[in-house]
Amino acid sequence: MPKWGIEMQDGTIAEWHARIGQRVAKGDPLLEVETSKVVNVIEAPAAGVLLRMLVVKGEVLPVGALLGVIGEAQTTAPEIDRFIEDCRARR
Amino acid sequence: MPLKTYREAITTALREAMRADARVCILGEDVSGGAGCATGRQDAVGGAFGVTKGLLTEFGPLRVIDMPISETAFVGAAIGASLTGLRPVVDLMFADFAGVCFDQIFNQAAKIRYMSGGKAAAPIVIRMAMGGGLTAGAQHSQTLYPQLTGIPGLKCVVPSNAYDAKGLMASAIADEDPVIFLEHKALYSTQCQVPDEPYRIPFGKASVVRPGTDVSLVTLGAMVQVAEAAATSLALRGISCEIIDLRTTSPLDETTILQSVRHTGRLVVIDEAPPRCSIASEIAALVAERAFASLRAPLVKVTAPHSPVPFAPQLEKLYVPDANRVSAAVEHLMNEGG
Amino acid sequence: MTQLTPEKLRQAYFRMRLIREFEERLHTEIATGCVPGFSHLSAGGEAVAVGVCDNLSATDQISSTHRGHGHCLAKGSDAREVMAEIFGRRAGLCHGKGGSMHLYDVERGFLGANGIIGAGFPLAAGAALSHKVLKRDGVAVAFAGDGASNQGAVFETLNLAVVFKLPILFVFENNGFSQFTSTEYGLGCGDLLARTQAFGMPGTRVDGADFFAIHDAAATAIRRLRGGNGPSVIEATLPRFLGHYEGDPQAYRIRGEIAAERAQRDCLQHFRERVLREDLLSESALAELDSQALNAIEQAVLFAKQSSSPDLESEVVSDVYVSY
Repeated sequence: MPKWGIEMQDGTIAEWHARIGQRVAKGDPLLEVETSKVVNVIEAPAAGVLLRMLVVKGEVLPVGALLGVIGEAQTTAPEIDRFIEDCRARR
Repeated sequence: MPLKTYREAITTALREAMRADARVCILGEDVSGGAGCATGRQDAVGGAFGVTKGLLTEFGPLRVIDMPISETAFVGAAIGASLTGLRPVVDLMFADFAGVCFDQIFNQAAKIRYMSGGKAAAPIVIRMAMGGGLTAGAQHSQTLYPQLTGIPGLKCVVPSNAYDAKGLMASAIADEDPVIFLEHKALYSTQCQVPDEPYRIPFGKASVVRPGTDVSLVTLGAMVQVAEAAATSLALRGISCEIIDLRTTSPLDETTILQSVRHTGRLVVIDEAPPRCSIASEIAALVAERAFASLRAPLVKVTAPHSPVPFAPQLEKLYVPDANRVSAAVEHLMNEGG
Repeated sequence: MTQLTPEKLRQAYFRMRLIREFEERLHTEIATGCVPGFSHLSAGGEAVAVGVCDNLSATDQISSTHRGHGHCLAKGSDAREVMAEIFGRRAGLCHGKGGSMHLYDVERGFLGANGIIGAGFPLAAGAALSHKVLKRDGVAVAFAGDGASNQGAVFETLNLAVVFKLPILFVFENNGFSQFTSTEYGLGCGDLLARTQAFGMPGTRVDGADFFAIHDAAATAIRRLRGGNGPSVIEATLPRFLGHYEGDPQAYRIRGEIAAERAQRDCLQHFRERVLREDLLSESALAELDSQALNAIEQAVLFAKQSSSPDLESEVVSDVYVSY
C-alpha cells in the first residue's frame, strides 16, 4: 500500500484490474485503492507475472502493507510463501 | 447517530448552507478542480483536502468557482462581493498563504464595518487548513490564530472535532462579520457522531470536554486530543483534569475559563503555536488579571518553541506539544504549587 | 546556434539524467512511506533547469518554486545533500529543517525552493539589485510555473525589474496545469509570454523538451543581461510527467496523456536523438553517463537513508536567528 500525500494512513481496496497469472509490464494498472481523499490506481512496479493477490475488494490496509507479488512465472509456491514471510517480517 | 469525519462534517455544513441560501458561494483554488482540463472531469478534486468535493456538481460553476493563483485578487473580490449581496466562503487552502493576501484580510475585511461607522458589513468566511504534525514544513504548518485573534474586526474559529466543525461552520456562514475558519489538517479524518440535521454552535462558547477538580487544561484544535490523552493518564495517578476546548479564539469565552480556574485553582494552557503574543499568553494574562485570588499555583503554558516549524519528523515531534509533555507539566505543577 | 563542446554536452546530459533519476527514484521511495512530508517532482522539466543553469556560474543566483529539486541540482547542489534533506536528515542541505519545499543553497546561488507561489520572484530581483548596486557581473534568474504568472508578487517584480533595468531573466515553465486546474482556465489573456512582454521587456517562447533551444535562448538572454540591457523573459512549454504532488491521482488528465507525453516530449530522448544524429556524442558515451547518473542517485539514496535524523531539542530551536 503506497503513501499518497501526507495525511494518508490506510487505503481500501476498490477493484483489482489484473488476474492471477496475468503478465504485466511496468506501469500497468493493477488495482484501484480508495482513501478518505482520493481514488487512485496502483501500477505494476516491475514487469512479470502477477503471482499472488493478497487482498480483496473492501479490505482496509495500512500504508506499507503487502498487497500482491509479481515475479517470474516459474516461481514455486513455497518460494512465494517465503518471500511474503520475509516482506512481512521486515516491516 | 451516524459517524462523520471532520472533513465530511464541514462539507455537509457547506452543502446545507448552500441549499438554504442561494447567496452562499465557494471561491478558491481547485475548490472543484479540473477546471478547463480536457478531461471535462470537474469536481475531480474538491479542494486540496477534499472538503468541497461534490459541491460543483450540485450547485454549478457560478456558486463553486475555481480561482487562478491570485489570492489578493480573489480574497479581495470575495470581500467586495460580501459587501454587495453574496455570502462567500473562501478556501485559502493553507493558513500560511494568508501572508500573500494579508492586506485584504486585516486592512479591508476586518476594518470595513468600523471605518464605515457601522454602515457596511463583510459577511465572509475564509477557510484555511492549519497546524503541524504532518511534516509539511515551515511554510505549510502554521496556526495563524495568534495573529488573527489579535485583529479587531475578525472572528476566529478553531474546531477540534467533527461535531463542532459542522455546527461552527453553520454559524460562521450565518455570521454577519468576517470569520476565519481554521481547520486543523491533522484532524480531517477524525470521526465522531454528527447529526444529519442542521444545527449551529454559537461563537464565544467554549466546551467543557472533561470536568475535573485539580487543574484546568485550556486548549484548542488538535491539542484537545493531546489534553485528553494526558488527562487519562493523569487520572491513573489520581490527578483530576478539567479540559476546556475554546472552539473560538475570537470571541473568547472568558467566563468558562475563569469559572474553571476559580474551581480548580490551577491553569495549564496547551497551544501548538509559539509562545509570544499567543493564545496561551492571552489566557494566562486573563486568568492572572481576573482569577488571581483563586490561583493555588503559578500559571503554566505548554507551547511550541519560538521557532518556525521544523521539517524533520523527530524535530517536529519535539516542536508540537504531546501528551507526555502535558502530563509532565501538570505533575510538576501539582508537586511544586500547592 | 551556440556551439556546445562535447564536454559541455556530456555535462548537460549527465545533469539532466541525474535530475530524471533523482525524481523517478523519489517517486518510488515516497510511495513506500519512508519520505516525510510533501514532494512535488519535476520529471519532464530537466532541459529547462539545465539549459538555463548551464549558462550561469556560482556567483549568479536563481530562485525556484515548490517543484524545485531539478533547479537545485542544476544549480550545482550535491545530490546526496539534497536527497538527505528531502528525507529530513541531519546531513541534508538544510540539516533537515527545511525539506523538499524549503531547499536552500545560497552559497551556490540557489535562493530556495519555495512553499509560497511567486514568492521567489522578489527574492531573485533582490539578487539582481545587489549585482547592480555593487557593480558586479552577476545575474539572477527567477523560475516560476504558469500558475504563478497570475500572482501579485510576480506582476510587481516584473515591473520593478523593468523600472530598474535589473539583470534578471524570468523563466516561466508552462506545463499546462496550475495544481489541478488547466492553465488556460486561469490565464485571462491566453498568452503568458505576450502579457509578460507587455511589462516592458523582450521575450521568447521555447519548446521545453528541447535542451538546445532553451540553452540557446538562455545564453542570448543572459548575454543581454550581463551587457546591462535589462530583464527579459523565456516561456518554456514543457510536460509534467508526475502528479502535482506525490499521491495526486491526476483524475483531471486524460487517460493516456501522460504516457503520450513521456513518449513524445521527453527532453532526454530528444537530446539523445539529436546528438547521435549529428554525431556529437556516441551511444556508448551516453550509456556511460546514464550509468554514472544512476549510480550517483543510488549513492544519494544510500547516503540519505544512512544519515541520522535530527532529534534533539537544541536542533529544533537552533538557527532561528543569527544572534538574539
